[in-house]
Amino acid sequence: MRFIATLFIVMGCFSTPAQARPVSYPGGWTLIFVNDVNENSALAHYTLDSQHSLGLRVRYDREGDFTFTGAQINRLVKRWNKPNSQANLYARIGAGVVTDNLDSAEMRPDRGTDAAFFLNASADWETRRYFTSATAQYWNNGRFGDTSNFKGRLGVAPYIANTGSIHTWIMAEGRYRPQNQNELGAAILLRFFKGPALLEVGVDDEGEPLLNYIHRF
Amino acid sequence: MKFFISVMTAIMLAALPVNSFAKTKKLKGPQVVEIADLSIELNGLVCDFCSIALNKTFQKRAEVHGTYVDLNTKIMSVALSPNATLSNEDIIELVKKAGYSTLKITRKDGSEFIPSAKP
Repeated sequence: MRFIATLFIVMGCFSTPAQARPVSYPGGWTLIFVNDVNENSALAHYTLDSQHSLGLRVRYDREGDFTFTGAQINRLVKRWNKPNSQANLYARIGAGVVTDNLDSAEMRPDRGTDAAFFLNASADWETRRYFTSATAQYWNNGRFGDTSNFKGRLGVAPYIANTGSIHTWIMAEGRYRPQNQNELGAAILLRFFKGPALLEVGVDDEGEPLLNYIHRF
Repeated sequence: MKFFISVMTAIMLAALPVNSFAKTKKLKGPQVVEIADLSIELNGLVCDFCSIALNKTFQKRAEVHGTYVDLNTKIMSVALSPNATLSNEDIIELVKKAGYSTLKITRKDGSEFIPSAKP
């Protein structure tokens, strides 16, 4: 499994979880929930125009045991529309506060609340059969320290579904998070996609479940 | 920061489509293909999110009675309201607003329009 994770990184296929499309159509709302070994997070964003969306995000960092609450701006930097494929380049920036999750009896030097921000760049390319995406992310978590992570995904659709049918994807994810005890990781997941709803269910190499959901309004 | 988040929340809530129930119900689904006034060939169609973006963007227009996006043919069918029309420029702009690009527009009378490669 470590070999697979390394392979992904060498290939430069760093991807984002369920957030590969952080900008939808003008006036559209999107809800995104991400749950994996690193985080539990919820994001609601509103698309302002074809290139920008504005969102509110709550993210619990499982490794650091703190919660980020803040706002983020997503920008579609460039989209390449081709007859049988689409590729996107996105940038995200967010700012907010981080708060520890310690109970009042625990005393640690890093407890309290602090300002935080993050930067994220991601890219994806997909046809109706193949999918790949990549992301690089940096978090400044104030007193809780800096973190960065890189993720990559490869996916294949076992069948091609038309509009309104259930679309199924089999995906593999590799990740590199230098600050984690286990720097390299990998996961396998299934993506189910129907109309405005997208569900991802998977498991990583440590046996941790992965559950992501997106809904577009 | 709390103030900033509160302001952001207020802006986003104000943008909610609270009066959407009052809007005229638009026609959806493959039956639109049979009555379509426009067939629009598109670039970049790869998933259902693409079809939702196009449907929602076009259906905001009063001239549009119904829409359907077929991922297999990569064609969007548009049925217009009685006596309504949409110019080629409007169509190209709506497709662009949804995040995609137009390859060809074919009207019910058989006339075709192919946009220039670079606007």
